Amino acid sequence: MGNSCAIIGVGAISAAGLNAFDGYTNILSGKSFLSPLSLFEWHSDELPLVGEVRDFDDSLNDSRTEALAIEAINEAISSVDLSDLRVGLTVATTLGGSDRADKKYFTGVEGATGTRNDFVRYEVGALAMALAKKYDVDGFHTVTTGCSAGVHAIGMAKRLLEIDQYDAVISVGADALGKVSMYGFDSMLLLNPEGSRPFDREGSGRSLGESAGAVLMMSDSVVEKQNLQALSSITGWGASTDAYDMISIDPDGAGLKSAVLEAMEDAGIKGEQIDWILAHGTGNFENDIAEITVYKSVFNENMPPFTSIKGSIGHTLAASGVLEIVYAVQAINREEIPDTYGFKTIDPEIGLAPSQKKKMPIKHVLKTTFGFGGNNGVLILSGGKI
Amino acid sequence: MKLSILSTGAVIPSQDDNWEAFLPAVLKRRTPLLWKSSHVAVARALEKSPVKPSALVCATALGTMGEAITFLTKVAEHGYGSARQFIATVNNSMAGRVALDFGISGASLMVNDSNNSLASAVVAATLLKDEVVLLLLVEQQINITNETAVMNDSQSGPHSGAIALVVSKKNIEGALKVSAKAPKPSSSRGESDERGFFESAYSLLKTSEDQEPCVINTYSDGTEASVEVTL
Repeated sequence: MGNSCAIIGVGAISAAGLNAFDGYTNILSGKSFLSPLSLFEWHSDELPLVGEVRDFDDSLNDSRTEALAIEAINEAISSVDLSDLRVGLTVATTLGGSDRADKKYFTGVEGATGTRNDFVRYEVGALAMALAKKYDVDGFHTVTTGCSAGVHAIGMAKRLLEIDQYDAVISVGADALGKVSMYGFDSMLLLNPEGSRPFDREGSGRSLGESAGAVLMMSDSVVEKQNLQALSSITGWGASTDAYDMISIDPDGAGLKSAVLEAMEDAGIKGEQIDWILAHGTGNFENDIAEITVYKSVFNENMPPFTSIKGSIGHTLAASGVLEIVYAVQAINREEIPDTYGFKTIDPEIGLAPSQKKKMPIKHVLKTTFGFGGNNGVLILSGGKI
Repeated sequence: MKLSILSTGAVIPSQDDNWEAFLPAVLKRRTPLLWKSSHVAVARALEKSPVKPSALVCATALGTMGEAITFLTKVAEHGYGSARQFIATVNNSMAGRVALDFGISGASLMVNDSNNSLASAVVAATLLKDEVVLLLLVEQQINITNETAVMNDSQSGPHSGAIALVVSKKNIEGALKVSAKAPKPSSSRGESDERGFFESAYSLLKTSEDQEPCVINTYSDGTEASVEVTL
């Protein structure tokens, strides 16, 4: 068994709910929380379905991304007194506070009314600086490896705790819906405007969403000293690079497989001990097929149930890694996994169906992510007595 | 943890008119400047390194902001963006391109902590399991609006380019060692240390070339960090 770090608090805000418990409860209900894009103008009258957070006031913050991040962090740290601890912060984001600049600078170039202060939010590091000052942490890092950034932010936090750099680390992933990502994935024909259908034979393409997830982690020794109760633990981190293509995943999944094996080795567990895979599962054919190819190769006849929640809430980019770990903590503690919303028919190239909603005890969860530039990030989340 | 510096390589376009001649043909046309300068800097560092790194940490401050401005301006003007330009807006694209060009298949991390990105990258490299890591420090000053030029005020040194260092967790005798304190909120405004990210990276390069120990303090919007180079 490798070193682990305990998750003491979680927070989440997504299209499915304004806190971690409600969000996961709603995902378990088997519904979609996608709705037509309303945050900014679109190039046609046919608005794509996206995972927007509704009934949420972001007007008091520098950016919508920052407002989402603060909401998640406040929930994650709400039950713990951090005042006498050395606290670190790792932040995962793709677009940072760019939503503010989007509104001011790019609503039509000639009509742009933004100031320097609006544009400064486009610098990705501005988000972490604002959060670091707000929560008065002792150190911070911003990770921007795209869709895998949330997992790496937690992985870095694990290492920082293992080397005793901090007593506690807050990892937050946050991304509001932004024009760069919406128009960008649209330009690459990678959006499914009707909603993504992970692992399904029909309807290749992703839905985008917005969210923030936050986890408060501490080393096991600090948890014991503080007499705190762990919700679960991060026991393994794996990281690799495909070095195959700038956009497409290696169809053999060699890089992702390497990260999965590294994470299991870090956790000190074998494939047959994984109870559930919370997959990346964007809904793009090539990605989904490569991902399942990796799982078949790693698990053989011991294939655990696998699920994607991106059909319900959209792909929330860098935030997704932390958000999905928060929901996986809920799954472990409630002993229940959800359906993969949007899946209907087995893709013959995959040959397997994702799991259906069911009650089951869960000890070890494999969380996978991968992104642009062939970046892979994998975590092992473990519940119960490790 | 201190990292031994095994080799360095750099491209400072303002000091090297001919640097693009070193690019492979595949990168010469329609390739973002950040990718091109990264490639040449890394090639130069690897040529001098006794060991090939298995992992990569890339750091930037402004990153791909210039590409994002170009992309969004076209969206505002035409209602559509270009797929090629979108790929270039992704911050991780520099790390992905370098990993692809040089076959680096271990971990790759991308860090963005404004002027404190150098310290953040050094700390990140110590957290990876890999023993030999490629540190890539890359920046492209953008002058599309006067507003952004103000964002990266400088006192000395170049604003744009790429600097690559191959570093090892092993204590290599005779090699300079680099270590860092992570960015944190600052109790006082350190204006004297408010150099741009790339200026601090350039200081590290010069220190490495001159074999002179130094401390590089950085400051950004109420946060600070430091990098120490020792013999």
